[in-house]
Amino acid sequence: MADILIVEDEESINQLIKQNLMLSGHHCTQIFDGGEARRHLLKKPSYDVIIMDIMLPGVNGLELMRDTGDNPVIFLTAKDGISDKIAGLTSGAWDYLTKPFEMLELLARVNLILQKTKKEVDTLKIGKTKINLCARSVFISDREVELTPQEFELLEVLVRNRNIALSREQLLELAWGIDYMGDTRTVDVHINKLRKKLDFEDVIKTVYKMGYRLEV
Amino acid sequence: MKVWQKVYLAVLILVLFTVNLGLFFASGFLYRQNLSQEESQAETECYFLSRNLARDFERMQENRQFRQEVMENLLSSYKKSYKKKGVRVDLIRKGSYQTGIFREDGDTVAAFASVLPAPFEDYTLIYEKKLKGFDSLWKNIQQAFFCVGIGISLILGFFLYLLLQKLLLPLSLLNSRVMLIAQGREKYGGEMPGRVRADEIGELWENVDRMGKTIRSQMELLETENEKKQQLLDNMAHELRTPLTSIYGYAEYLTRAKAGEEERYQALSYIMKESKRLSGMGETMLSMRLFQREELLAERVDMEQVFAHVKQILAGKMKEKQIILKEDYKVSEAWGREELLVNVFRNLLENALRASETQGEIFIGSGETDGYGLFTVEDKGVGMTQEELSHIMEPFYRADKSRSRKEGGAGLGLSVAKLIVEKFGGKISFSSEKGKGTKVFVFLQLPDKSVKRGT
Repeated sequence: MADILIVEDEESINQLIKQNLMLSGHHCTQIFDGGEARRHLLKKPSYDVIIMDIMLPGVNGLELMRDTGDNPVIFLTAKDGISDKIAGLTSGAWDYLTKPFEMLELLARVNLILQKTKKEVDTLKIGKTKINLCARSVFISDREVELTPQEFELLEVLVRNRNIALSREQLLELAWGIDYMGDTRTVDVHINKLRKKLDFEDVIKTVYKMGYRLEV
Repeated sequence: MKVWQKVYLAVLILVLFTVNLGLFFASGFLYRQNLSQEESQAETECYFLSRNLARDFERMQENRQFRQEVMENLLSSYKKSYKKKGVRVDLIRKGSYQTGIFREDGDTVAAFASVLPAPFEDYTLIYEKKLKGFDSLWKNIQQAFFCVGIGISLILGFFLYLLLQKLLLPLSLLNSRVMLIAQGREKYGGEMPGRVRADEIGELWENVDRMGKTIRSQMELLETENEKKQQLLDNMAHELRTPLTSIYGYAEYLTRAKAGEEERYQALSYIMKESKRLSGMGETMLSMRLFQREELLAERVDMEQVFAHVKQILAGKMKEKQIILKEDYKVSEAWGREELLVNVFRNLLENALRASETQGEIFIGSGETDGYGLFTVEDKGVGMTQEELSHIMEPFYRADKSRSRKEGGAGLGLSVAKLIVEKFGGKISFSSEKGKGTKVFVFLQLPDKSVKRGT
């Protein structure tokens, strides 16, 4: 579980980011003003990820880069001009995302940063099942469960996007790769295998018209 | 063919025709004059010759020598002596003879006949003179006239050419200049080269120059208008994107996430709030469009009533912030429309409220300046920098984003207020200092003066 700071003046969007990140179990701190963010970073200077708008009241996001220290920053802004992007990325930010954004993309980028900085928590315990993403192993009450590489790949995608419904197409793309020409029924088959092997009947839920969701 | 060539040819032909016609008539007159002189001379000579001949015949009759051979002898001696002068003389009996001037073998011949006096009236003397001297003289005169004609033509042609070139040179310069303007390579007509002339060409230069300047300023106006529109569009795109991002984001959250009852409710209420903001923005922009297009009928407005209405609308917010409102009205009427002026002052008072701290002071006043009614709204709140001040009239601009968004503004209030006030012939200006507060000046036409002006 990562510690994430959100600096965004638009209350509804700030709240949206927070709710999305909380689904993956991250802990979020919300700040709505540039000056406030500067003061806050003086008090608590260390975060796993900072998600920040550029156009902020008081102190703008680019200026705030001086106060963020070594913390990885993702700019999330409505400024989509190429010069804005370059200015954002050369200021030392790790990533630049424009509004409107997709929830999955934001989560993927946050996860990527957490992986790189090794801040990612690679073990997850759901009931009696313990999943270690780093060692690629799954235990149920100290008994290791054998999973095929493809099954584990699918499980990893579901775990990383836990509490979020993914469509069969998205799962196919994320777990099998974009080039895989298989049927979406392949996904159903693998999901069923995972459910049986891990006793995840209630954990991997079928979401109406959407796909599957791993709930924690 | 160019104008100067046309004028040149036309003038040249006309002048040459006139000059040569004159020369032609002059030479003709001279010719006739000379000829009649020669003619009368010949006639006189013919007459005297016939008298002489008659006297000779008389004398011959007195000497009884009046015979055919003697007569012939006498005549031939006359003939001989006259032949040397180029004259043919002959004597005929009882015959008719063609007299006058005629041409024979390339020579002009004057022919006369004279009947001898009695008693020799049977005889007629014929006198034919070849006018050789006259012919050569005439030839010389003709040549002289021809040379003079050519000379005049050449000189005239040359000077006419110079004159036309000098007169029409600015025209061709102007022409190439206008061509450059048409191709967009030149901005103005520019000054006329050389001395500025007061004729049509000078005027044309001046007008083209003026036209160029007008077009230029019009284009510049259009460009700034365009920039403004672009700015507006950029701002608008940003303003639209923010609520849309939330709406889309929360909708996605609702479809995908495992969310509890409270989160779902919160997501839905955000969607509703942001949709409302979007539709409010749409409505405001539509009304701005209408203000810009429509002609608004102004009427006498009781400003105290306007302020009373505004205070009533904002009473809740003022109470919440415990605002101390001070009022001082010296002018109570203005020229406008009540509901629109309520909108204007509501906007201004709302801004003042937003800027003010809790228990802050707001001052509303009115007075008269330069024939206008001046209405002011002043707060002692956060104030603005000069930079912020220069932007506040732009649609979608916000000096303090977070504050006004929370209260549902879209950054259109002042744009609308400005539109309304200007529609009634007034204007809005601001003075502000960061940290000290803002004062808004609204100038409106006073009713009685407006009526007099007939607006």
